[in-house]
Order: sequence, then structure tokens, then C-alpha cells
Amino acid sequence: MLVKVKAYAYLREVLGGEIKVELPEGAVLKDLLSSLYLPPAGVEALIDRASGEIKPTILILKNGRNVRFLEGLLTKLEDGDEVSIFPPLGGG
Amino acid sequence: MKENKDNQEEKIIQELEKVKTEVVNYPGKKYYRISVNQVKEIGGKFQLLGREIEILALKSDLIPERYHRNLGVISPLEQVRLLEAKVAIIGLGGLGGTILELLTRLGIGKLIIADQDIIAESNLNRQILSKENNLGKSKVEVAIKRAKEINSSIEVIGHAVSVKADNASKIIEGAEVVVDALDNVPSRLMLQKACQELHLPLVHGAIAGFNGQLTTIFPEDQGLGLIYGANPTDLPERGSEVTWGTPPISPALIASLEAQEVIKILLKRGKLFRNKLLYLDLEEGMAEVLDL
Repeated sequence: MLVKVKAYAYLREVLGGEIKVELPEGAVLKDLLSSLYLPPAGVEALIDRASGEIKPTILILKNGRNVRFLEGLLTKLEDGDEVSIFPPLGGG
Repeated sequence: MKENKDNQEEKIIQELEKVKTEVVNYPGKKYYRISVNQVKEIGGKFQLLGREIEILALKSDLIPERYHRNLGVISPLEQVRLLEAKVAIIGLGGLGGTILELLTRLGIGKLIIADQDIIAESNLNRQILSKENNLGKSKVEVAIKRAKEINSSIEVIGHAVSVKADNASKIIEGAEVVVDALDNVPSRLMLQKACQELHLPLVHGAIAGFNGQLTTIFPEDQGLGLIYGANPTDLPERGSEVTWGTPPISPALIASLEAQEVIKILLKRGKLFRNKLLYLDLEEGMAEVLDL
């Protein structure tokens, strides 16, 4: 299956903006967010090495839904899904 | 009492009729204009605020010239609605200063503003209220002065305090719309909670580097929780703006979009960014609208 990954702001530089990733059927978000499919520097920017969790400063949406409200890293992916990754902003 | 009021209104309209000037605008349409000074004079005579004189003028098809250029997209009665509205702007930094500027010029009748800070040198790159000659002054004090210099018809209520859980409701009470112009995530979440408790819509904007985000939250919406996560206490107080700074372009742009959301809410017009996050990457020229 083919999943579209879109990265924003500084994550664009490490993840490559908009890319399409071919994943095996049944793959979950954790599979996608690994150096098998994404540049290692990109994975480093997203995943906390110690806990293995998504860094609190990173927002990942699957088809517009925050994955924290789905099944986190175990959120199932399907063909045609769009995964948007960006840092939520806080300045003013 | 009502009779007295009607009588007074009638007298004010008579005064306005006496001083009105006939003008033909660029497309050749005739209208009657009232100047800033005429509003001030009549207001002074009747001991009323300029906005009350302007409301009566607009209802009588007399156009306060200061709002004339609003009227291509805002009808005279919609301008009355804006002059009768009360909006709270929480935070007077890069976002809040520009939002104040725009809502003041637009003619929002009553503005509540809040910020505890003083003007600092590091504000000069982006904050419209900051100038070399007002460094060290209270932002609220500077903001009230600027707003009054631009539009003396409106009321500005200032709170030079830090907006916290124990005072937020009191500060925003009475507003019809609240604008989030804060600079950190925990305060934004606190403000959203206060808005939910008072059943008020909240316009959220935030920036970092050449990026900006915007969403409008009604009391029944999940709002910021959808953006910042289910457990906001996990979040650091500051986000990527620490690394990427706050250059002047992104706050001015997001502030403008926040002001536009205020207009749409008050006039019940157009499409809001509700349950949607507008995310701008200005360097790349990307604007994404994400469904939340």
C-alpha cells in the first residue's frame, strides 16, 4: 500500500517535504516512522530515543486526525492515507 | 427614561443632519459623510462616546468617513454591529498588537486587552506597539494610547496583569469573541478552558519562524486539545519558536487572519476555520488546511 507523508516547517528539511512510501499491508504508524522508510535524521526528529514515543513537540495527523486520539504509534495505516507531520506552534 | 433617550437621539440626528456633507464616491455614488471632528463635537455636546454618535449616524444613512472604506464589504448596519461588539484580545505581543491595530481601525466598539509585560528591545523586530521611545513602558498603557490615537470613538479596557486560571474568566467576561494572542501553550489551554466555561468563541493563532497556524474554536469543540495533544501537561511551555525565533512577517499575517475570523464570527458571514487548522509555511509558500 501507498501512504503519503507530508512534513512541515523545519521537519521538511529532515523528512523531505512530501513523499510517498510503499508499506506492507497491515503496517502501523510505528512501522512508517522508522529508518526503513524515512531518513534517519527525520526519525530522530520525531521519536524520543529513550521512550520510543512520539516527541511531545511533534504533531502527527492521519487524514487530519491527531494520532494521539487514535492508537498512537499503533495507529493502523491503509492505502491512500495521508500522514501530516509538523511542530505545533506556540509563539506570538 | 426611554422618552428622554429617544428625544436625545432625535436631537443628535438633527445635529448630524445639520453638519453632514454630500460626497460622490469614486464609482459615482452619492452619500452623506460625517467627519471625525464632527463626531467628536457632537459627542462632547451630548456627553456620549463617539461610537454612540457613529451608530446613530449609520442607522440614519450618514456615513462616518473613517469607516467609509470598510463599506465596500461591510454594510452600514454591519458596521453598527461591529461598533456595538465587545472583543477581548489576550496578549499584546507580535500577534496582539497587530490584532488591536486592525480591530481598532475596523471599528470594534469595545475592546478588552490584557498583558502584564513591558515593552522590551527584543520586541522591536515585530511588535507594532513597540518603539525605541517607549521601551520599559507597560504594553497595556501603550496599547490604550495607540488605540485612542487611531480611533477615539471606541472603548478600550486594559488589564496589565498576567492572565491566569484565577482571573481569566473575570477579564474576558462580557466579550462576544476572545482572541488568543498569547505566546505559550499552557496559557492558551487555560484561556480555552475559560472560554468554554463562559461559552465564548476563541480565535487561536500562533507562530514560529516563518510558520503560522490558525483555528477558531467554539465552546463545544475540542479545539487546542486536538492540536497540542490529549495530555497538555506533557508539553514544554515553549515550542519551536524558541529555535526558530519570531520574525515580523508571520505574526502580522496570522494576526490579520485572526482579525478576519473575528469579523466572520460577529457578522455571521463567510467560512470559519472551525475544526480546521490552517498551517502556513511561508518560506515554502505552502498553505494547508487540515481537518481536525
